[in-house]
Amino acid sequence: MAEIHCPNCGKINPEGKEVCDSCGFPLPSHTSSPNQETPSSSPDTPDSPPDLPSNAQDATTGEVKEDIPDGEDEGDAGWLDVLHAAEEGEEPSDLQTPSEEDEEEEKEDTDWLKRIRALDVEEEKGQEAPEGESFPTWMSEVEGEGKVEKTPTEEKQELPDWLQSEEEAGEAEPIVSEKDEEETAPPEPAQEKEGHFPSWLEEDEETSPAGEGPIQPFELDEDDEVIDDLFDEELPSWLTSVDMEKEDAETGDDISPGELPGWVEAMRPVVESSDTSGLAEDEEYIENYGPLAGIPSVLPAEADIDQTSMEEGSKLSFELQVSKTQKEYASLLENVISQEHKAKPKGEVTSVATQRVLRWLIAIVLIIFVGASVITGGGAGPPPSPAIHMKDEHGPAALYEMIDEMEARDTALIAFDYQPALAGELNATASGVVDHLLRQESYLAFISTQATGPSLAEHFISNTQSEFEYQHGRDYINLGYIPGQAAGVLSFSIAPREIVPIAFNGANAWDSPPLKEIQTLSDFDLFLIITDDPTTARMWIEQVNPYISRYKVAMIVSAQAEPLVRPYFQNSPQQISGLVAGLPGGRAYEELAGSPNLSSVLLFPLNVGIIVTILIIFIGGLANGILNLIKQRKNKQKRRGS
Amino acid sequence: MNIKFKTPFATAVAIGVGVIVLAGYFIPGLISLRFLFLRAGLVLAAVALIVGILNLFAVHIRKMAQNDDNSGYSLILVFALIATLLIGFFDMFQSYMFGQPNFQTISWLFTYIQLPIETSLMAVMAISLTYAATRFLRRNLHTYAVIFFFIVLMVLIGTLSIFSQEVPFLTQIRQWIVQVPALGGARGLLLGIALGTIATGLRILIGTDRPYGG
Repeated sequence: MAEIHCPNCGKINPEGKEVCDSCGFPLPSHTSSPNQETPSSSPDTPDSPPDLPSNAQDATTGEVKEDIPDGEDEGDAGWLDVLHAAEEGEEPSDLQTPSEEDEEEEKEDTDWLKRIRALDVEEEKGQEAPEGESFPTWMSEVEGEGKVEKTPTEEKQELPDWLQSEEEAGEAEPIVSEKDEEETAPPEPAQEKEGHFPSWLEEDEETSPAGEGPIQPFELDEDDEVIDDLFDEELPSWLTSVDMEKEDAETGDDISPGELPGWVEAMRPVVESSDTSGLAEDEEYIENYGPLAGIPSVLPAEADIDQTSMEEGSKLSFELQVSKTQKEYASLLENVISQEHKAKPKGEVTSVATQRVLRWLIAIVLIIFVGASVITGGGAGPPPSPAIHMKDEHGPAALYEMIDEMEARDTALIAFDYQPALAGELNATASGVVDHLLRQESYLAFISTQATGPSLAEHFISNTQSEFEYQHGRDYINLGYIPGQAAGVLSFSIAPREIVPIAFNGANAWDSPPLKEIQTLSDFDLFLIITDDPTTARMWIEQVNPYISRYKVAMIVSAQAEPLVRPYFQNSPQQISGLVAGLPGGRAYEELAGSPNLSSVLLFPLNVGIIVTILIIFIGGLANGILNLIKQRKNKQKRRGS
Repeated sequence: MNIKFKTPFATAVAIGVGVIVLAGYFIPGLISLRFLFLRAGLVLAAVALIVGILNLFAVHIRKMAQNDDNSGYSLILVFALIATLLIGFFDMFQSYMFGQPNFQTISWLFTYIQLPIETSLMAVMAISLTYAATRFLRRNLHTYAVIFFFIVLMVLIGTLSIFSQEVPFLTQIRQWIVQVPALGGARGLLLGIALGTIATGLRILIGTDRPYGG
């Protein structure tokens, strides 16, 4: 060998150089003893890297530091020495009591690191290390290999037996694979306690083919730059290569993004699934692709996403999904909004004329028939009242009994609380009742809560009962108008003399014969309320009832107020004791009294008017209903056509 | 002095008077006090009527001054109001001073002007209702409208007394309609009115509702 590797930078220097041309590091001498023992461990062996301190190795094993003798803390290669001794049939040093020679040999073997450190210190001091002492003997031997060519047999003889066996096994099979590197990385010094090989060695022996001899733990190569890199000032070549690989990885030239390191690949579960779709809910999905391949229970991506559906989804339009009815409503709303600013067309003139004509026609027909019936007077006499044929229609009869039981000069209070518009109906209805009272020679007193009430009372007594020639102040008294609605009625009920001190004509009402004996409301023998308004009827009933016996209260109401007033009569106990409603009720009362009056006269024209009205409504209603149907059909046909 | 009655004073007066009047129904000793308040209320109501008439008069005088299309109606109203008031004062003077019969001139006005006018309006309403009934199905042609239409006809037919003896069931149908469905509805209305009256009275008594302001 004519070249010398610089222990510092690893550069090759020609033979004879004492200092490295590249870094100036003193080159080692070549005077190594051939009989010197080969170091027990090679520095490039991954099993026990010599550059790691022993405590670092302990950290990797984590358990055997206390088993190692204290004297071996300084050199990690001591355990290899132990192995060497075991190979030679000697007891391990930690099992035997170490002799002084052994200790010296061990110191010789393991002091190479101390010398390296010393060399470093000297280098820092700029001093040149002495030749032959700067490196351990095994390194000198390695360097000497470059000078002296040895046959393989000689090399075998120089190696220890156990290394020879390993070397032989390595010839048959590669000693270290990537997997073995991972599995056999940390040595098992605990095995040293019993004098056995470390576990990685035992495993290696087991995996080696039988009968092929021991496997060479390593083989030093001439061109191996690892050892040279250890002593180089620059970065070791293997680190430089790592940097280069790193740069390659960053540029992405050599390593594809999906590739994983081998050790990660080795850690993957072995389970594989070929089916990536159609998994049930409870089945675990096993990824087959990508970095998560082989790992179960990962979120599936390809299994649920169908490519065709994705393509269809990308083709979907953004139109609003609406039904036909919704479209119709939307168009209707749009039409309504669009027509908002447009002027509304006026109605057809012809229809207005038709309505006006129809109104006049109805009016003329009613006037003719009702007028004719009033003029003729019903011909064969007044028709009977339908009320008397009803079993529960005993309102007129009850009132008749009340009046019939009154004696002469008994006083009846009559409230005229109706509008003049309904005077035609209510005057006729009440005429028979008041006629009965007058025939009983009763005193009458009139009161009202409406401003027109006193005039209505005067009109009633002077027109409907003119035959009796009643005179104000002598036969009857008009007490006038009570303001304040319910409050006035209540006040009048409590103290009638104080609330209405004077009559309608300004005279003292309570000094007149009709009211001479009247002090309170209960002194009246009958309280008759004539009204067309259910509210007024309720007001009187509510305010008067506490101050007068309910057996003295009766009502004459219009036909339209009957449904709301009748409950006061049909209640149990009754709040009013007699009820006459409308012309039929008045007619019934007149039949009971045996003296036909206005109700009997007006009942026939009322019947005629009702019949005509029914006919008009029926005929007109049917005609209009048919016209409406025709119009609706036309509109439907127009819609269908459009 | 400008006294603002929209103050707690007005509320206190209203609540106090209401409580006394209500208590007068249950406590005999408060009947006289309750009656005093009621009489005061009657006087206030009469004065309010006069104030209302004066306000009506003033409003239509202003309308006459505006000289718009409807000022003629205001003129008629003001003229009628003044004429009736004068006739009333004249009648009252004759009655009170000379013992003449009761308000003969006013009675004449009522009998020959007010009564025929209001009665004619009622007759026009009868014609309008008849016309509306004929046109009812023209605008509403659905189930409930048809039912309503025939119920109107049945009640009208039941009101007839000419055929009541020959066809008594027509009258019975009308009586059933009036006394069962209509009466049921009427009772419900009465109950609602009673509850509403109680609620309104309580609201006024506790001051929640203040129709008098404040």
